[in-house]
Amino acid sequence: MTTRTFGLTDQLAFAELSGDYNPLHIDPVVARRSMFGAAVVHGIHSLLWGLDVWLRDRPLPVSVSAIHAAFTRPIRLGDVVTCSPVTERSDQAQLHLLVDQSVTTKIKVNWHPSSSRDLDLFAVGFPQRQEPRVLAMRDAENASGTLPLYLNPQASARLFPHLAAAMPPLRVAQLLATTRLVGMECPGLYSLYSSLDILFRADANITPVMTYRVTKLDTRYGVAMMDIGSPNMTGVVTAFFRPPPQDQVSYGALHDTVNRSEFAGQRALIIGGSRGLGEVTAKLLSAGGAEVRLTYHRGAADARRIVAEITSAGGHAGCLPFDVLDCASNMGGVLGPEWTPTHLYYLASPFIARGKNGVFSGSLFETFCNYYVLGFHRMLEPLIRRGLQRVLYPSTAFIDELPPDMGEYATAKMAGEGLCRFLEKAHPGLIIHKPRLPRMATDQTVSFMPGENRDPVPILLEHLRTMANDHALC
Amino acid sequence: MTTIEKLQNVFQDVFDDPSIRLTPEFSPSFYGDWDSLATVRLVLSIESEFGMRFTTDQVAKIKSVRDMLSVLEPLSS
Repeated sequence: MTTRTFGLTDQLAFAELSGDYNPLHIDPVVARRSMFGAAVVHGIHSLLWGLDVWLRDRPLPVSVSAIHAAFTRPIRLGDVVTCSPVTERSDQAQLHLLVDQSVTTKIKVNWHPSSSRDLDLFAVGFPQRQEPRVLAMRDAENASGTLPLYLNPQASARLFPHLAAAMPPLRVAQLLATTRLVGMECPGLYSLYSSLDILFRADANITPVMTYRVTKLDTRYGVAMMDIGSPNMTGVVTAFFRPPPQDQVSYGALHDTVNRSEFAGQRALIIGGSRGLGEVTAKLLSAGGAEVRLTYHRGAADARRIVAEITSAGGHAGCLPFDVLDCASNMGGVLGPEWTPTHLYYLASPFIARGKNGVFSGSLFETFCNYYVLGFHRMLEPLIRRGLQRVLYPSTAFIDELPPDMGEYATAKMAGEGLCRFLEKAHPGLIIHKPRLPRMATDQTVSFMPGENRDPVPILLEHLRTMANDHALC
Repeated sequence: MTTIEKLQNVFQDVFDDPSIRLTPEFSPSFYGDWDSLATVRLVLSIESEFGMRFTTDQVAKIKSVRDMLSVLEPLSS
């Protein structure tokens, strides 16, 4: 077994080699809004690494005649990935790549010893960097096209030395072209590579292009099957139309929902306001007359977009960077002496990863606690000293439901509720509203399945009104 | 082979986990690798194995193996 991690530098090098510059793989800020909450490794990158590990121990030369690969779970940057042989026969090998004992990539290779290295002279450099196309599902029916093939042999040898020594460059270029097909062309920006079946055969003609054609489109789940081909190769690529980040309600749409003055007089500080529930909270409060300041950690562009949307419609909003995990960062200092919030809304959250069934992960619990307990407390203390008396701490319905794979999250939120009660006792006059909220439509809950998430607007508005009126405080 | 046994084979293959033992209560909450992407993979594999096609409404209601069985068992009777 061989292990490694994939870092951003590895990803950028692979993007340059393959031409697949989809931000899901190379831009952690954009990728944080994907359903995986982080940048993930290209499936083909993981495949080529697995093949490289396998070829390392093979007597050369080897001729690979067919590959089946299924990319079943994401590999996030920094994950420890293990390449593990499953079966090995004289003409076929099966490998699995695993993260935390879950299979992420299944690989089956058909091969035979080769009498020659069978290297062709295909080498044309790097593909040009382009922006990924956004292909609508309705436009994918019978979509077809041609992709030029590229390979920079030096870069290929740096990333996959054993593969580059054993496999003809044309075939490596064809494997690389399949990730460019999915990530940049069809489906493009909102895509997910699912599986590859590819069959190579000897052919004297080197054609530096690969054709593709969508042969089956399942619009229920956004699954596209594509035939790929070149004179020496045929194959099938399966890809998903990945759901885009969750758009939230527009500010302009709230004027019929919110009374223009129901939150007037509030100076509202929203921690984690650049998207999701924080974004909705900011818009609702501002539409009701509050003066809003929202914080962001990495989503500066998202935060500025929200502020621009509010202020261009006459609302009062601003944004500022703040990292709740940064122990050296003092919220009092960040705000300055002239602006003190009357109300605080704490929506900061990490990616809400599910745990393993029935197994309590200390490290996952610690991640949640750093946001929901320690980061919350560290941020709040200086504001309490400045007179803050009204706080919204969104807890979770999972405390009551306690799904077997959400123990870490629910327990951390329970600890947060406990901290809230402690602070209320320690600071008379401080009221922390801590509703147990249901699953709502945000980036965190984006799903391939329709209709699972509730609209956050009416749910949040009810709690904002309760808090504004100080009625029925928990 | 009963419907749940055939279904168990599909689950074992999709999750590459021969230790899976299905009961009607088996659900995403009880199996960490069963996310929405896995649901799509399961549904496509079940359709291929059972020679049928789920409606979008049926898929949206799948919360456990019981919900799958409620669609599949009438087909085999």
